[in-house]
Amino acid sequence: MAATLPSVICDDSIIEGDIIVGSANVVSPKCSITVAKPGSRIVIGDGNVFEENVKIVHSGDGEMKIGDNNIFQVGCVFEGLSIGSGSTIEAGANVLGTARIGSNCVLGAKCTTSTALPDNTVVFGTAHIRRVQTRSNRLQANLHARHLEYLREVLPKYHHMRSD
Amino acid sequence: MSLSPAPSSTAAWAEAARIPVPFVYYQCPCRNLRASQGDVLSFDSLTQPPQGADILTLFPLPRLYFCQECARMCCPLCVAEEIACYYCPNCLFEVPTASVKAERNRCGRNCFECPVCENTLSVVSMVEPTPLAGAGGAGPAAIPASPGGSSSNNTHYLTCGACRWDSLEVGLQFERPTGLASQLQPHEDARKDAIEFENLRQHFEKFLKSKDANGPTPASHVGAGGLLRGLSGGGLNLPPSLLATIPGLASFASMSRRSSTLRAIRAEHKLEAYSSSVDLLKADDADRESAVVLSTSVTSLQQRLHQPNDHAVHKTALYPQRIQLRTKRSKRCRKCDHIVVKPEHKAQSTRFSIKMMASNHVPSITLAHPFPDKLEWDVPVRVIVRFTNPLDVPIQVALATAQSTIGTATADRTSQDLQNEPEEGNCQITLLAPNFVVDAARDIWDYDDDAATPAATLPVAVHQKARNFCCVYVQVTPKRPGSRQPSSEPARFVVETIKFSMLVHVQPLGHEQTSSTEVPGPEETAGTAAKPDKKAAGPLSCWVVIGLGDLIP
Ligand SMILES: [Zn+2]
Ligand SMILES: [Zn+2]
Ligand SMILES: [Zn+2]
Ligand SMILES: [Zn+2]
Repeated sequence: MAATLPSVICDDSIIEGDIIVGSANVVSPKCSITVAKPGSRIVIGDGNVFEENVKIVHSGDGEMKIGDNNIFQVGCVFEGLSIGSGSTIEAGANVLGTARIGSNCVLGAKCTTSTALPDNTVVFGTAHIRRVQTRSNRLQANLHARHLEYLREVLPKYHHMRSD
Repeated sequence: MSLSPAPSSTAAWAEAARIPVPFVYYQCPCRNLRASQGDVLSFDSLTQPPQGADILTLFPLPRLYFCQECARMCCPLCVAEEIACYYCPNCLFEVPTASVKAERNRCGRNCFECPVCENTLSVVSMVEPTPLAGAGGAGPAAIPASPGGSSSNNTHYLTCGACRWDSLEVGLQFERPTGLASQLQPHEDARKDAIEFENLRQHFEKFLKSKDANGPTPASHVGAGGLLRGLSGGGLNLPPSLLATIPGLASFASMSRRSSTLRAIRAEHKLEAYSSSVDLLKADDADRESAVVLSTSVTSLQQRLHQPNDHAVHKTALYPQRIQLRTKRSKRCRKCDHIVVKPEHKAQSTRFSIKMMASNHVPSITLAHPFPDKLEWDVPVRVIVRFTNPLDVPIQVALATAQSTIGTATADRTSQDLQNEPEEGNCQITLLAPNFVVDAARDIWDYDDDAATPAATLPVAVHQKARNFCCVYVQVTPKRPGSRQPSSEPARFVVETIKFSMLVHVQPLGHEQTSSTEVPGPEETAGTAAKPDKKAAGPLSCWVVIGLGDLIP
């Protein structure tokens, strides 16, 4: 259902460089998605949510790959190499240069990682403890779909959208 | 209260308990109360400055209470606490005292904490709401389907928002989303450790009952719980139900009775051997060992401590714990039994019906700017100490130091003697303004903005005087203590906290003596009369320890 919808990108966000955006993504105001080097690019899949003040920075070579249905919560910074699908980067979290994030991962609020997170990893707490979650992301997918739907409906009421 | 002999040197004092500098700590007068065993707190009983071990009687002003009956400060050590109510911090349900014990001090409703990370768990339902049904009311026919489906065959489980643990991991799910603790009760009672505990209890209770029936407790035996036994069994004859309403007391009373019974009859009967009907956790010792070797499936110490009934070793045995109850407490002065703090009973309320804080009765003493640039040995610096008056009458403050209160004895001492005197601290103090008046506190809009007394008219050594505060100079000269034992000291790295003690005597002045600034208007006197709770107390004196900073000897 989501595949046919265009992405909702607020005008008040920065999108710079060679970036391929899939369908049904939501980019909130004050977000920045930037590619630093010429020749590098970011490939974004479908149905991702980028909340306010999120920074996605690709400063290396080659391609940064962002899968489907991920949530980047308020104020997080993502500089990693790739992220799978259905993962959550919580508020204020940091994904540093060399990290690859798997699918169905959760990087907890204010947590940092510079190493890879295998699929289903949860990082939480002040000590950045890791554990493997057993929960299927089926329920979460449903919630995510409704989240997307809501944002797609509400954001254009209060913000200018990019027309392209 | 001196728990140990006072350390003989200031270095030991500094090491005994280091309070982060800078600080201003007050000494509770209860030390002197206990020492003299008298009821009257006189100025004389306060002339000893706090010494090494007295660090335990020093408190910052916000932690002190005030007893109006005794006109003294009370510290957390000299108030008696009573539990006013038990409540759950999550659902704020107030648990009746009688059922606290039965619920094992934990919330008996819907509140659980995560066994992995101690966060509060939330209840979610398994059957997902129909996708996109309610989004903006746009979905047409989808709405009636979801509630009908959920009531019949829906199940619920607990989930943690932080670490994503959920109770399905341990195969735990619920039919209804409410009253989870009672739904869980049969399951909890069926646990091996619970059964074993219950068996043991029955075993001992049966034994003790038969002994009780054999004969009355010998009256000659007075154990630790003698008084309680007297209360429950003897003259007063309190019903056991009343005792049972006081958690701890009931078990204490019955324990003391049992122990004495046990001792009396030990000669006649032996306790029959107990054989466990449950094959407990012994079997999995090897299992446990292998788990520890593998180490990823083993719980952390913290997690084990949070699961007190079986101290789960395997992560798979982690089990959601009901949230522990909290208490609200009222506090009484130990000397006169008057209440100094009494919270409102309702769990939701954060107010207090009685709250006598020392900060409303005792001038607050702080270090004021500008702070000396740096502290150096044998270099005098001037420190500004600010006294703020919380009372609605002016106060007369008199300061003294250990040297001046000892009196003539200090006068003919040489500097060598001073160094040998441990109580002198590590600095020399000169009080430049030993006596001054601090004006009364008023509502903030009653102050004139430019009412600060001009510098020219200030008394000697008073730095600033405005509103309800007064800043005075104290001259401090750090004295190197290392010269005492020059050979042994340099081996260790010791930081000396430069601190001094000061005796503060506060005398509230009547309204008629509001001399220096302006005469209070009629509406102001009416205002002060309207709050009699803040009435002027009698004179008050206490020792204050002020820490300035650290120096390496
Ligand atoms: Zn005390
Ligand atoms: Zn509760
Ligand atoms: Zn948790
Ligand atoms: Zn009292």
